[in-house]
Parts: sequence; C-alpha cells; structure tokens
Amino acid sequence: MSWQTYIDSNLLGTGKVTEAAICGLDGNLWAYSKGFQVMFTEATAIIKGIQSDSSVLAASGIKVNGTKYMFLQAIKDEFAYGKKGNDGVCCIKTGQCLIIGTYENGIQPGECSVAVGKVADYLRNSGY
Amino acid sequence: MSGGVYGGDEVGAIVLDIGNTTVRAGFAGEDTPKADFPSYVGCTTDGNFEDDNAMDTADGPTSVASKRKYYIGYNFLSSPKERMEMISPLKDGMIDDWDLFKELFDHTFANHIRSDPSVHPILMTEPAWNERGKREKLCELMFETYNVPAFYLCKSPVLAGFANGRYTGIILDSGAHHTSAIPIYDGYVLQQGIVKSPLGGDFVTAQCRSYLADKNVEIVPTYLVGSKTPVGKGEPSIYTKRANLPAKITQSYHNYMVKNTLHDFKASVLEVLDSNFHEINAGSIPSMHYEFPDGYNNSYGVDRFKLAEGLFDPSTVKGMDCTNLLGISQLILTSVGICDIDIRPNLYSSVVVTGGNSLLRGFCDRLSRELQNKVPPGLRTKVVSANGSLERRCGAWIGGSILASLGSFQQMWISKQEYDDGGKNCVERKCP
Repeated sequence: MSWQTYIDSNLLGTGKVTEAAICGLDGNLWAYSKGFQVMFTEATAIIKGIQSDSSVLAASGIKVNGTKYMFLQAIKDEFAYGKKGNDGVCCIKTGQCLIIGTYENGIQPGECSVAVGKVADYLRNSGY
Repeated sequence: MSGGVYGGDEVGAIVLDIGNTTVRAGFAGEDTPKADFPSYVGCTTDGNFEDDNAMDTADGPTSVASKRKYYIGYNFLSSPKERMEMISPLKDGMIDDWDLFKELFDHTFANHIRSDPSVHPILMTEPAWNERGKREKLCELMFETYNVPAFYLCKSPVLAGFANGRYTGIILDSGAHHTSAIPIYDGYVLQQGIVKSPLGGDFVTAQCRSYLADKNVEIVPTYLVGSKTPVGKGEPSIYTKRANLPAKITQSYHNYMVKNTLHDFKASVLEVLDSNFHEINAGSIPSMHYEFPDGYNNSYGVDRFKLAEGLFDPSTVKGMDCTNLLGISQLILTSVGICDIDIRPNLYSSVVVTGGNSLLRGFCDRLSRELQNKVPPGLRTKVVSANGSLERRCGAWIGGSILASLGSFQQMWISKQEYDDGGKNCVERKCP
C-alpha cells in the first residue's frame, strides 16, 4: 500500500479529517493531501516539540502549511494537539514518521484524533 | 447501540463532579445537582482491636475491604461513631483510593440518582492535571465494572468556563485544597499554562485555627456540646458535654468537625480588603460578631481582614515560609505569561472565578482591582463570576450539565462500542 493510500482512504476517507500529511522524522514529506504541503521547517519544529521540548510549541503555536494553531497539549514522544477557533490540528508521532491531520467544519477534535490515531497505531504495529 | 446514545439531545446523561469538599451529581440539563454531599467518608472496621496500633495495621495492605463499613452523607457524619475514621478518596484533586471512589459512586446511584449506571451515559469531571494512568483506569472501571453505555471525561476548568458562558479565558479555581489558574482556549485546556498554589480554603482555615489558638480559644465542634449557657463577649464558655458520646472518637473525625466549625467561622466573619492590607483601612470597617457552638463569642475587627490577606499577599503570612508562593493575581499573570502572545488579550478579558473559597467576601473585587493595576497597559481585564453561592461552588457541575445536554456534544462521547474497539487508550484521544 502506498503512503498516498493512507492519506486518501484511511485519513480523508473517514470524513473526520480535512487535510492530512505523513512525513518522516527527518522532516521530509512522504505523502500529503492536495494542497496540504507541510513545509520542512514546520514539520521539524513539530517533531522536535513532540520528541523533546514542547514549550517551544507552547510559545509559538503549531504551524502547518502556513496556518498557525494554538498549542493545546502534548505527551512526550506521542502527540501534540492544536486548535484555531473551530478548526484544529492533530499530530501523532510513530516510530519512524509523523502523521498530521486537520479538521474543520464541525468535526469534533476527538473524532479527528481517533481517525489519525488509528492509522498511527497500525503503522506502529507494522514497524513504522 | 449507538442509536440509543446518539438518538437525540436528551439522553438522560449523569454528570458527576467529585470535588475536595463535596461530590456533586445529577442529570444533565438540570440547573442544580440532585446530590451534593461530602466527599469525606466515615469508615469503621469491624472486629475487636486491643489498641489503636491494631487499627493501624488494619489500614495496611492486609485489610479486607468487606470488613469495612462506610458512612456517606451529612446525616451519618453529624454524629460520631466509635473508631470512625474520616477519609477522602482524593489526593491532589485526583482519585487515589479506588475502593472509596466506588463506594461514593455506588452511593450516588443507589441513594440519589436511584437508577442503574448501565443505562445512563456518564460525564465526569477531572482536574486539569489528571494523570494518564488514572484517566485510563477510570475509563476502564466505567466500561468494565459499571457497564455504562457512554462515558466522557472533561476538565473541570473548561466546564466552569462553560457555566459562565466562556470558551476562551483564564479560569481561577479557588477550592478547598488549592487555587489554580488555568488558561482555556475554545473549550480546551492549554496544558502548559497551568499554575497552581496550595493557598486555598484549607489554608485560610489553618490560618483561622492558629489565630484562635493564639487567642486561647478552644474550638468545640457542635457534636460535643450538650447544652450551653449564654456568656458575655470574650468570656470563657460554659457548656456541658454531650452525655451519650461513644468511646474512642478518632482524631480524624474530631479534626473534620473542627474544620467544619472553622469553615462556618470563616464564611461568617472573614473578608478580603479591596486593597492591600493596612491596619488603618481595616480598622475603619465595623467589626463582626460571631458565636461558636460552645457559646464563646467575640467581635472580630482588623483580624478578620488579616486572616484572608495571605491569599493575595503571601508575604504577610506569619509562621510559614511563603516566599515562594504566588498570590492570586500573580497566579493569573504567570499563567497568561506562559501562553501564546496572540491569545493573551482574550485571556485577560475573561477571567472566570469559581470554587467555594472564592466566596470569601470581597474576593472578586480585590482580584479585579489588582489585575487592573498589574496587567500590561492597553489590555482590558474583566472578572466574571456567578453570583449565587451554589453556582460558584458547583461551577464545574453546571458546565457539565450544559455540555452534556448540547446536541453537538452527542458525537463526543466515548461509546461502549468505541471502547470495545479501541481499548482504554481511546480516552486520551477522545477527551483531550
């Protein structure tokens, strides 16, 4: 299964994720939904925030594809959540990659993080 | 299954808020909780013990839960029982004693809700700093033991914000055990900005206790008093002890009752000045008269302001090293200072005050005055608080009642099916 399939069917396909991207822990994009080209610097900032020190994210917010989300919370080595009005972002780290999903238009944050989390669990179990 | 849960806005959800002082429980959509009883539980252990040392060992890991008898509710706790210890299931606001929590939960359903937990979705509150292990354990307990159809855990400051009509703001929660400033953004806690201080209601009570001890006033709780004779102001009390008291009343029970007495003293007498404490300012305000349960009575003037001053200005506290502690307005400033600069104006413009300790007279006035002086110029501050004492004490419960009755909330529940699919770690994803 190509990386793009995860994006198209397992993330966006659930209807609970508006835009999504998967990148490696070095910050390079592996796959992304149309127009959602997360920049290298944005990805590395999130990865660094989750892996070591989330206070940087707390002070400057989570920036994804040029949009800034307020940082809500993070658990070290697992995830970081952000929110901007009714919209938000959910970033979950697995062994080798970072999955980013955003939601808007009345999708509940919990629904989005469950959808992204499912993919993350699957990737983790298959060695990624 | 999901049809039953998501069918409409009216799902008969139960909202449960376990605070340090009382447990609040009731149906979502109602304006006050059905049940509001102490979260302290009286506990006796069956069997004959030779001395108090034997009691101690019974509390150890060898004790058998079934041998214990629990007393819950005001009625049972107002009269002492032999060897009844007062214990609380909470530690630092988080559930610590799970057996006791189950007792409280069972009691709530058996005596107040009068229904079965398996037919009601349950919304529970938790402190903003709750640990992951405890959240997962609670989720597991709800689905595995109580078989609830749906469950949701919500941070209590968020709910207190809802109760006051705020989704973004800073929640100042001054409860019995501590005072905390917690920033929320669009209904979610900004985890990094939580600032806590141990200066809460219990601290003020301790201040009162040491103040009265300095004045050689013995605090006699109501349960000890049989009859009393009126005495003049400031004279030693004349009372007879109640006759039929059981032997071996535990220290923890006595302390609990003394605390209740002090609590009443505090609520009747104490007041916060609207500016920093000065003998002269405080002296010009009329003094307050108070009579203790044993008949001792006196007027309290300047001192009634001094006792509460420590909340706002810890450096005035005697006999305690409070140099590292933050006053209440300082808590807010520190917390906002940690947050993203873009939302700071929004936070300052809705400071929501909640928690029983904030009911001290003059608390909100003092807070808004201090904030106006300390907040960076150009920023607007607004202190929001509910007026009624019930609304203030049960802020989190009322917010929960509002949230759980909203149509848009119905897709936020963790349903039984989702729990079965995803296991207990779904609580971390669904309830941030």
